[in-house]
Amino acid sequence: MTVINEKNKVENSILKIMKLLLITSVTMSMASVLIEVNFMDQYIINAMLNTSLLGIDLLKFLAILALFMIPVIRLSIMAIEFYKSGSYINGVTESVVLIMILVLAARIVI
Amino acid sequence: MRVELLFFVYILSTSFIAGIIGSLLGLGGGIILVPALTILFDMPIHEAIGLSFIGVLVNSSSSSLVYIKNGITDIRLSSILEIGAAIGSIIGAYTALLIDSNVLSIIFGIVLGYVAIDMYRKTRTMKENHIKRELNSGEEREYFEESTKKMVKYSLLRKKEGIILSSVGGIFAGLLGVGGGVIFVPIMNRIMNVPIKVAIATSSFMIGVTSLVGMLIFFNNGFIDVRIISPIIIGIFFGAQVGSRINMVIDKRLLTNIFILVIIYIAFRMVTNGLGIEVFNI
Repeated sequence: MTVINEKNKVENSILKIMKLLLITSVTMSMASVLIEVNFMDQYIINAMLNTSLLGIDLLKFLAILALFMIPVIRLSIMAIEFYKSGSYINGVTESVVLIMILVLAARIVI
Repeated sequence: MRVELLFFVYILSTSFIAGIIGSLLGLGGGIILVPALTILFDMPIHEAIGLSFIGVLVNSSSSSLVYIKNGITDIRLSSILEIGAAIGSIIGAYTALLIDSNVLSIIFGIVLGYVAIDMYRKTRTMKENHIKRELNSGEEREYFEESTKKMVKYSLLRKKEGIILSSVGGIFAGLLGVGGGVIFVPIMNRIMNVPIKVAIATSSFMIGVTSLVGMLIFFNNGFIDVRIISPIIIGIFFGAQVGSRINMVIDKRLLTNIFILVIIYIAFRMVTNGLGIEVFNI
């Protein structure tokens, strides 16, 4: 019963985070499209489109960032939960994967 | 930078269909998206692969929401397979950057053809009671089967072999911009004795990692066209939602047969494309 409860807890946490980030990403993407198609002449919208991070306009950057955070946060939650439940091997594997991803991301920023 | 509306609609539609098929078959969508972008839109394959990683990531996340909620994703299994998959994906992605586009297209087609043939051959001999026979010989797991409304038990076998082979899946995921599900699903189903629906759900869950790795590497090397990120994300998301809901009630044999037919066709087109042979004029 303890294992089942812990499994549900992990799954529920992951579900909530993934749903939030995915919806954020899709929303930013849709907003980006709508703005590009309809509102190119408005000052504020232009400012948003002209603000770029890592060569991408702001909304698309936020969409990509939200997507990036899905596996990162998911891996973090799973690593923590596995360590807490005593599944150290699973925790270590999740941690190693997480570190690999963060290193690759850091290479883009640096 | 603006994208023409019609081009946007085409990319959106293509991504939507890729999302449905990818989610339905646990493939991630890249198996449809890469050939579609290269064949239909004449996009260089490296750019198609880069965009495909984004699509696969969206598909993985979207499908997983449904599968996790329905309790058929083996999260513990995914956690041990992911490390091999991630390492493989890094190797594959960096290798892809070094390979010529025509060669990459041919490799894509050959790999898909092999997977299709292998799956077809093994489905001819696969029996459902294979799972029941080995119930007591491995790590016991269970999942909720929607079509029968019952908990189904299975035994997880050959974990070590699965971990090693998952790195092979990761290499192909990083190399070709697919989710790796074309390798992960057969690994879990055929070698580790995981039921096909659980294998698809678990594959959908873990290919988020392989695709993120590939995306980061390709983005760092300038192979992602940021102008069309939005229609990819939107199309794949809604397609994956539709596909994962259909998967809950579809027949397993039908699912496998669809899988085989789709990739045979795509394999043929990619090889001819890489060889510079025009087969169909679309």
